[in-house]
Amino acid sequence: MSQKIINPSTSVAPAKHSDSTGYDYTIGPQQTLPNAPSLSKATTSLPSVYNESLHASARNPQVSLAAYAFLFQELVTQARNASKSVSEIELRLHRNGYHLGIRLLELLNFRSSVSPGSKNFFKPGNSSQGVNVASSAFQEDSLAQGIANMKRRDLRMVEILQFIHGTVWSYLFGRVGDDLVKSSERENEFMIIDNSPLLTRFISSTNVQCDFFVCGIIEGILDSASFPCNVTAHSVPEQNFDQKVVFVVRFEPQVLEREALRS
Amino acid sequence: MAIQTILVINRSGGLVYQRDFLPSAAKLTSNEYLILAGTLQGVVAIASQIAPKSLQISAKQGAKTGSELGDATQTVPYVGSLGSSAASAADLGSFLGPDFFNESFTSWNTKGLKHVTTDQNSLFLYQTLTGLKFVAVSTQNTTNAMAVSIAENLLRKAYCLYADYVMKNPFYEPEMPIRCELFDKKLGELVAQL
Repeated sequence: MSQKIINPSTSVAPAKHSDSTGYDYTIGPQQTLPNAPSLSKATTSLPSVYNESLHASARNPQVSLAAYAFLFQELVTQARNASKSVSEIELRLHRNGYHLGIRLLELLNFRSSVSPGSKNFFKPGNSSQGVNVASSAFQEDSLAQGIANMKRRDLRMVEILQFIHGTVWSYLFGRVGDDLVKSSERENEFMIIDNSPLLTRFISSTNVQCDFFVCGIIEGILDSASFPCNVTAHSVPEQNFDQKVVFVVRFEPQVLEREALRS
Repeated sequence: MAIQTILVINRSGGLVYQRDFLPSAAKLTSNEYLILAGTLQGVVAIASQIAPKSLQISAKQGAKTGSELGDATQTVPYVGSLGSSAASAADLGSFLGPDFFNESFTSWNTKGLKHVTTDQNSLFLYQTLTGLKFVAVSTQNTTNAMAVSIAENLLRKAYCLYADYVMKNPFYEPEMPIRCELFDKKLGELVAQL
């Protein structure tokens, strides 16, 4: 209501709303207030307090663990109802995670290259039409720059595993993985260790290993980064961490061959 | 106050969880526990019917003006000591405190049975909004209000554990007997901290 009164040119209004849909592709989901965008547009072009959530931990985007636990529970139940055996449940979870992994690789690489602050450039600064055209041209320009400056693809086994252990883990679970170990017995085996897996925190250990969902994510990332491999999860209870899970990444032989050529 | 047994009774009066904490204490058979659960369910229903009208009205007003237990629950001694497990509970992800809650709370059990005292034991009952009942049997015969509020706090924390480790477990069928290792473990920790 207010935007129609204050903004002189209503014809460009829909385009301007595109950056306040609650999702910013450089950061992720964001909290918005229904009236906030028009308010901030009218008063100032700088990001105002209305664009941000007041809760301290909402500044780095998070979702409620309880809500996620229920969603994951439904995922497991669905897989369980559709399957006949334990391995089939795990396969279904694995497949669900795989598609997540394929998308995550691109998304996280992109986000780590485009700094969140740079989205200020994308915002049209003024409501007058001439400046808008100029700024939209500038917007495409800076986005193109961002793509050109993107982080280069990880080409080595250790690099991509560190990306998973660090960037992916902190995106998914809010902290880096607990350890990244190379197997001493087999050349192509690596282990990512998580002492207290977030997703299966509330699930009592049964014969079904629900962490196969995370296995699927890891495998999806590695597969789409051209590291064909096989990932399995093993629960290794320890004294202090009785839910400790080890994700074993077994690369295909051709990855090792490529690695040998490269060095 | 030593907790001897904790029971969970579902909304239809069936016993879904039973655990003894004192190995030395005399045990009931599983059948007797089922009868106890059914009896308690019946007694609660009867008690809510026979509560005098005047009490029902005053209880309603008490619930309106705020928590019935008042600030007494805040000063319950074990609330702080439960913080020793804060390391595992602090990162529960939701906006809950490390100890699930640290404020006084409204008791929904305004008309039914709250506690039973005999010469050897006392039994405390915590009722949730959904009709689930948590029962604790302690080895002390006590009638003081402090013990009752401690027990209500304890059972409410057991309810929080139930919400986390039973309801969020995809392998649990609602209204069925609870067989969750993590719930067992956390409940054991909770009682051991008393």
